Amino acid sequence: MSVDALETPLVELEADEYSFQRVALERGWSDGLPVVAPTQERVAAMLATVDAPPELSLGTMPPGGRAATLEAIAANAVLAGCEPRWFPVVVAAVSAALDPLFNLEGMVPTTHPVSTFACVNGPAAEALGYNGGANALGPGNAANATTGRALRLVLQNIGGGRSPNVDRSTQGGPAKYTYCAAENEQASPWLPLHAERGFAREQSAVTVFGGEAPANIVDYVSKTPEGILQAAASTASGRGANNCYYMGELVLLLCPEHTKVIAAAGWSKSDIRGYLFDHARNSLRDLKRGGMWGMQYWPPWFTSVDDDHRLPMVETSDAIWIVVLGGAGRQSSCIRAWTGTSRGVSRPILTEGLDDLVAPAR
Amino acid sequence: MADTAVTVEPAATLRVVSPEGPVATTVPVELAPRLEDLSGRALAFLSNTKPNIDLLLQTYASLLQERYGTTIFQARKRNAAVGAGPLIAEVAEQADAVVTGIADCGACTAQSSRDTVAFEREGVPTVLVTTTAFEQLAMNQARFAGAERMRVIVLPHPFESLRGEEVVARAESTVDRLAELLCGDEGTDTGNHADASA
Repeated sequence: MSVDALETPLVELEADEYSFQRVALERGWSDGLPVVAPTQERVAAMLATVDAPPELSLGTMPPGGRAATLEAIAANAVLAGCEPRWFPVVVAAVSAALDPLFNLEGMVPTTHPVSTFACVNGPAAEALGYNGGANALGPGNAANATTGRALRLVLQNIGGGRSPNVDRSTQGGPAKYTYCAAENEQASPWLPLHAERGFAREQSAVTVFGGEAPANIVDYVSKTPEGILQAAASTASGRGANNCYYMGELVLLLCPEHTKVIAAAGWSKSDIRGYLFDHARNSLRDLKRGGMWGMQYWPPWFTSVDDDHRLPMVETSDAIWIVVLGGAGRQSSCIRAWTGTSRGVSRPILTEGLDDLVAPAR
Repeated sequence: MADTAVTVEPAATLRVVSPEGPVATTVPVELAPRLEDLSGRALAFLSNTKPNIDLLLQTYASLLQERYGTTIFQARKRNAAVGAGPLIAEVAEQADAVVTGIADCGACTAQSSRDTVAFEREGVPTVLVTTTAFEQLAMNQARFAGAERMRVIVLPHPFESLRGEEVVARAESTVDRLAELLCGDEGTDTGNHADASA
């Protein structure tokens, strides 16, 4: 595919800021909440935060195939209400989502309520005002709220992934509005997510993951890792989750107090993974009772077991990510995947050298 | 009480940068030449392994083999939510025509439509099996992939919950249509079904 006109069109509207809400909704640009009109001045302010030409395209965005130029991404960042300083984070998240490994072609039209979780790591998280502490996935922090929203609007407006014609999500879900937080790296005794995935600690990064809204794991009692993680295993392996039949990765969002109990017992992330791989399982007999039985995509060895054998909901323990998130209290959660045909992808947050963010060929 | 509606007149003109971005030019795909006839042709049946599609395709295959002496071979994608990838070239090399499916959910429709367009691009006439609930998505996905027309058979939705004998009956009642599509230039206009923003 060649991109002929990399210039993003300008649209003249007979509207003011207030009536723009209705116009944006009619044109399919909005998510139903108020949006900010992407005037040239506001878009320019976004673009000023990166040293790159506005017409640089990060790639053609499935399924609609339009070019995700910096200018178009900036327009969506304005719509979402982002401050210009968050623009590089949005850019990194879009770049990550465009990686063929993420499988936007399959993910956007699915009937599954999949949403794109974006995790911000590194010094930029705190410096730019992202929240990884109390209520990190809830409302109130503009960096979290608008960055996640900008990513969703990009998928909708540049990718064409809007309901009801292209995004075929059966019920939809609240995480489709925005789904972004920073990792609470200060509360973690372990390597943060991006460092585990190959980045230097000081290199800020965004990781995107396609999954459900978080499923809660509450434990106010256990003094051992096993006590907490057996509840986590049960939640993660719920048979209504696609993981059980379609594999996929799993994100464990561990709150600081659970993290403390687990780390105090000398457990590493690797131990958590090992435990969950072993315990977040269902017997073959239970998996045959219904759900997606008959449509499963399993590694060949799964069918070599007898009915009593308990099968994992990830292919290997490496498919489990652990992110420390949240404030006081003993509430953790997990994000179960859309399918194993999509992998989480990380990208560095850059203000120059953005050629590195251009997506590999599909 | 006043009974006139109060309208808010726009105070200004807004000029905005389109958040849809520039259109990336897709190389348009013409429908591959139709088959002159089905007699002795090599037909490939590409399944995405979803429920009931294997039975449907097998039934089509035996009926066509019976009536026209077509040689048949079956292929299967490893997963409905991804594209056929290297299978496209492999199958295109051996087949005079392809029947593929099933497009009856979100991800599988998107990928099977793209597979269908990919085969047409290789010059192999291909029919996509879809259902009423996902015909629109199939069409706009094909449009996104550059096809103005696509050959489709539309079955009633849902398909995956049918009993075996119902699947066989569906195949029997639509096989003539399948033969028509492979030997005709028809195809459905993908534009009528496309999302307004496409």
